[in-house]
Amino acid sequence: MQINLKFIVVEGAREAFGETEFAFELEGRSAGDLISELIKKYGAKSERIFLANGHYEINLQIIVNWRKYVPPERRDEFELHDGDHVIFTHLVEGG
Amino acid sequence: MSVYKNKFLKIDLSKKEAVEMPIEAGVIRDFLGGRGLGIDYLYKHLAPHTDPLSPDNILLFIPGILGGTSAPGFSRWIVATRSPLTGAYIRSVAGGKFGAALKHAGYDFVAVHGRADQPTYLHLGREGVQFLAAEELWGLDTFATQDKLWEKYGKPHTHIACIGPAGEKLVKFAAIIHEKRAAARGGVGAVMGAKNLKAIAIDTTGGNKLELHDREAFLTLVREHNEILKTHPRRQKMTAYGTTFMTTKMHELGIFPVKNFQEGCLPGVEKIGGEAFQKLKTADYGCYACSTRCGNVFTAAEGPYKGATSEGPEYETIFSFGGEIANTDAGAIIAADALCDRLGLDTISMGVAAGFVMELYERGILNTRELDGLEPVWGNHEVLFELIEKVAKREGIGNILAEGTKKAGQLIGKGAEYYAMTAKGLELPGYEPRAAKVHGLGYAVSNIGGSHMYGYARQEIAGFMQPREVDRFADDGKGDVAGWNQIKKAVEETGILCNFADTNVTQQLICDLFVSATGRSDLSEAKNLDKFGERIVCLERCFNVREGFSRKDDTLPLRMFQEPLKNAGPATGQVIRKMDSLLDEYYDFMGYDKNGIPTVEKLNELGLSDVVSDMSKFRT
Repeated sequence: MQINLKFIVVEGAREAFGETEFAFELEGRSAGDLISELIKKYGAKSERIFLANGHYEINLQIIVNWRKYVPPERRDEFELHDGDHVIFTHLVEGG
Repeated sequence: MSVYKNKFLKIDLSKKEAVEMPIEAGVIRDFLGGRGLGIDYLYKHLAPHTDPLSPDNILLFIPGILGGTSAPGFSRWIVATRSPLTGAYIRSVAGGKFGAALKHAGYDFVAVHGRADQPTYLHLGREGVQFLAAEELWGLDTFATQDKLWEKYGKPHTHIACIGPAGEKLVKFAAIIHEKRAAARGGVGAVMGAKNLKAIAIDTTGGNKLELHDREAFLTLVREHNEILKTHPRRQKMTAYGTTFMTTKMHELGIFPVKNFQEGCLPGVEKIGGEAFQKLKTADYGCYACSTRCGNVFTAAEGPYKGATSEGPEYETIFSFGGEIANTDAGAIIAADALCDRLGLDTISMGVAAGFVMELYERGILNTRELDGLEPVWGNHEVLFELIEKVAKREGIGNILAEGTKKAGQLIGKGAEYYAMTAKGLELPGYEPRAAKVHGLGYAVSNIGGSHMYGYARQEIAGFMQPREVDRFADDGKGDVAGWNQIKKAVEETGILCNFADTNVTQQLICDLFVSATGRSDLSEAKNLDKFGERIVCLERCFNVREGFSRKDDTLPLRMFQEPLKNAGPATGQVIRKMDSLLDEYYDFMGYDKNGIPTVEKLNELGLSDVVSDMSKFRT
């Protein structure tokens, strides 16, 4: 299925993926699968975006269809659907 | 031993008297500290319907329980009073070092009463409190005022809070400035100006030592807190970007208000996004004892504002001088931010006032002649500077805007009030209520009016899952979350803990810090803290009820109910559909009746029995 991806103010995203907004053909089903497949396809530079010391970067946030926040620890159980829009950004808030 | 001083400094400017007073028995027990002490004092000592700009209003300067200690992010300070902008209770919060200085001066808070017969500043030091003529300072901007006082008293040990020309001219959204930090909201600077009080300077040389109940335990916890901050990625992003990072994200989600909350799309928004500002960063700044150092100094690198520098702007100011007026010139935002700091103006209210004027001009409600020759078309940042100067000097259209956007709408007439984006008269911040409805409800039911910081809805902005997940577009099911956010914020503001230093800080850590600092065993369990927050928010509501506020005032601008949001990506078409349900949900959760007044049962439960008879006068 096709997933529409966007990285907002994520350092290294352009370097890793060539662009910060693109469509990705996902073979698996979950948000966790999406990350695994991105790392597999784009290699070490993308791994650095998602993984810190071998663990999922807890500060990187997943927002599906601009409305649903996926907690990092639930990424493997969160199912994606064809045409979904997935935003990766940092867990920073305002004040 | 305890960090509590159990005393406050009562200053009477009319009599030129300064007296140390004990804090009444039971107040610290029930209201904990910081913001809690403020509302207790105001409720007891400020007569209802006192003119906010009269000598009878009271202006409080309040550090938190842990102010002045080494606990990171806990040295913020609050100004509390009755707002001249809204007529309601206001508490305005700022960072820097003044909170620590207040505590080191030896007080749990300072209460300023009366009005000086001539411009005056106060000097608090080893010689006690001095009332000094401020003739040479009156008329100076806030930076020049501080420079003059530092020149006289020395910089490293003198900490100053002062007003600029806007406060002197009683602009209803004038701020109090410390260094380049602002207690900005609700016109606290106008109250200071009305008291003829230009500045308070605190000399902390040989300051009053803080006594920690269990120093060793406290320092261990501080190390733990610092370690959390040091290793957490969010902290690293805050240090690098401050909140400038938010702009692109909020725009993408349809939450970034554009053109006076008419829509959600700003072409060229990337020019004022976090990455753009990052390129302009020239230094950073940290508040007292805080390692986060999220204050960013930006300098405009090119264009008409080249060389302009400001500590900030933060996200809110990028909204107010950016999206709100459809401006994408980052240099203009930096320069306008610096100008407002100098003049002593709230950047949120000023920007919303400017956006209001631009919409009135666009709609033909105001013309060039009525605007002193200005042509305030969207994106015209030159006009923004004209408006800022005019407001601070109360000249022409600026004299009308200086009354606040809501009042300005009433004065202008011709339907202008509809375009005033305020809640309870306080200009709305940079979260579109229709696209983030807990925020929207939060503005409506906030006891200070349209503030995002009275109960920040992290659930909508950062996917926070406590107390539960929220769908930001759903029309109802939000009252409990709005109330929960307010209670948690009130607890933090007894500390006074900064929003940017509470990353991964659990309530249990806050409890442990409080216990080791104060020795209070009743604070040892996190579940006990909420009751303090609830009591504070409840008494703040009672203060407003006494001033005539009720359900009718817990609302939003009509635009939010009547105009589906335009051009806002995923939020396009969103509108507030069920305000009455949302209010009922919130009142139920908080224990308020249908008119928004705390019930007798709730007041008794919170130990506010003294207030029951006051509230009974307002029940229908």
